[in-house]
Amino acid sequence: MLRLRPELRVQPCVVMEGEPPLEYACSLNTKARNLGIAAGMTRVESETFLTVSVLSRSRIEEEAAKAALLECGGAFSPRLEAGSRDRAYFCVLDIAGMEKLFGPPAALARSLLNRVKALGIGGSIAISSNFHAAVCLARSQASRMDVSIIPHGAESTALSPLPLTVLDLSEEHAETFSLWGIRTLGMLAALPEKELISRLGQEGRRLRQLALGQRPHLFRPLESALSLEERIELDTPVEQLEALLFVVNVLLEQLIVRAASRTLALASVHLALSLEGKSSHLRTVRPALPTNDRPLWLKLLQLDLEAHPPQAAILSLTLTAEPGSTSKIQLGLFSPQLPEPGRLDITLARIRAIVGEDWVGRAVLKDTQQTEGFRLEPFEVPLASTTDSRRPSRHRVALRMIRPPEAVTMTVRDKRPEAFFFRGIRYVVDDTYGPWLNSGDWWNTTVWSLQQWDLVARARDDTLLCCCLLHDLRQGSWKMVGLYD
Amino acid sequence: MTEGYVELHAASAFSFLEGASEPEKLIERAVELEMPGMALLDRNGIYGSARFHTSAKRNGISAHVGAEVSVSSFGPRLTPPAWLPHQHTPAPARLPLLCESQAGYQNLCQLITQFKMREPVKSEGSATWEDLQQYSSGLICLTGGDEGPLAAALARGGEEAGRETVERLVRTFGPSNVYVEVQRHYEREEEWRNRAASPSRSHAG
Repeated sequence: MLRLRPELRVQPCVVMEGEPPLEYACSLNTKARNLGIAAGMTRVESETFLTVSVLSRSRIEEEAAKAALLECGGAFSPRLEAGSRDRAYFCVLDIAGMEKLFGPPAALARSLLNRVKALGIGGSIAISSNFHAAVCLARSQASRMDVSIIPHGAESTALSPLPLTVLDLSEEHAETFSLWGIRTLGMLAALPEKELISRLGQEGRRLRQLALGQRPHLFRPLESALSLEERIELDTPVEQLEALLFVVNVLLEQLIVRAASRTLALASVHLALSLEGKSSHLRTVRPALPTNDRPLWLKLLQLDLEAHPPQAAILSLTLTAEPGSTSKIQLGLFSPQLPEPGRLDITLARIRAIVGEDWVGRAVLKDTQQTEGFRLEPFEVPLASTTDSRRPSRHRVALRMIRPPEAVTMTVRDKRPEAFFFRGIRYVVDDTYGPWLNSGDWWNTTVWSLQQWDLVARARDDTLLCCCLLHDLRQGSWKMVGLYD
Repeated sequence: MTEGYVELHAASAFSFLEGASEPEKLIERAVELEMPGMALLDRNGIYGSARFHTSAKRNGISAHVGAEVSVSSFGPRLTPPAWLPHQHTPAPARLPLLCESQAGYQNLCQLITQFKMREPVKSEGSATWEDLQQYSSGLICLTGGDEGPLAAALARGGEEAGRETVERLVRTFGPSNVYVEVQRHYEREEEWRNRAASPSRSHAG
């Protein structure tokens, strides 16, 4: 829970489980423990300590923390197995053969611990050649945030001072051992095997093997899929964008750390806000290039949320990211220089906030002959291989489009233009080219039919005008659509 | 009604994706327009000719037999500019051929059979320059529209390339058997081709 609330890490905190008013403390940090709070205390008992922050248990946040931990472990070994015991979550890594990559086991454990600390998760690391011995030792020192290594063959010696609670004993067995005066693993290991089996059955043999650090284990590695998702439920409903961005910043940091550990970058971020009144607000931000630049992401999300603010107070938020490649795109030596991707994205987001979501991008032609037959697509950085290979073959005439087209008053003789008024000036047509016919959607109610004319016209003061006009055959109107240079 | 106009480059539904009317419907329309004759030039075959001819005979119209034949020697046919959304796969230019006589009909059938026998995949075969020279007698050659060799040559190398193509056709089919095809659908590119082809026409005779 404290992973996403860094400001609470320095305070005593208790996590409550159960339905009110029967809530009890299921987890607490060292500072709370030092104050005298113990697991199992009720909310009322916990709240008698004034400085304590009381949180409610969130399964979703726990799942996210587990995923983050697996992600982190996956960076050090491809084979890992996970489990949980007594409200603690553990992850076992098979580090056989990893020396060449990460150095000796102690160095690996140290850097793994640093990575776990960076995620804001408390825990300890134990290294052993026996699976269960490592789990028992790590459990016994979970609050110490330390690394311990059991040399090969010294498992029983290392485990002997540990209390029996690290073994997950059933109540019946715990009582039996208590009656026998057995309190540590060393004492359990010292019991004769046959006599123990005769009294406790095969379970006795298993427990003795665990205490000796000799219990075999079939490693069942997890196939973890990369899922970049972070969720947080806010303690109080948030209405201010700044306060929301503060939380988003923390979540983004987590996502970026996880993506960067796999040499990936965030390609897009989906923000899902749960609002008061059971409504939700979904936004997606996708810059031109995948990036791990947190300030850039924050700025883009801020601009997006400013343009599309949620309509009610926010109760919780989920941040999901799609990973993308971090590789840089090599542009051609002679291709035009593009602006820095981050700055381009921010500029685009600002323009989008002003002119609207659907009016920013690059024009792509539609499969139609209509004059305004194009749509807008988001900008993409062109790959070097897709450089324009069209040869500048012939001399082409430049046409300056007039958008929107301007109406003209036309005089027609023998179905051909003779003279027209454009911007208050009368032009007499010298030469005509056309008509070029265009029509479509005749199967629809939006049927259109146009005649296009290229005209060379002259004004009274001898000004020459080379232009392109459209004659709408259905409406009978004439419009100036472009001027030739 | 058509003032002596005779359609010499029609495609029926046997030219898949290029024609939609059945041969009988084409004749029906020719009767409506009081057209004295009509030619059917399907793509790489004379599939519709029998039905076309039968229907024409019944209606008292002259039916002309012909076909559009893919010829690899002319290079690829005209393709839309790369920036347009609707593209088609590259294919060789097609030469419209009309039969002038019975020998011409035999030659056209043999020409089609010869390159069809060679094709590795169905409908991907094409005739060569040598095939044309071998079976050119009795055939009248048009320069074609969008799919033809003249349009491809004009787009590739301008009027010079267009003239060379027409001269090549004239050398093969004879000066009195090659005709420059002028179509007018009121399109800019087509009009440019028509204007560019006008000088070539005088060379073709």
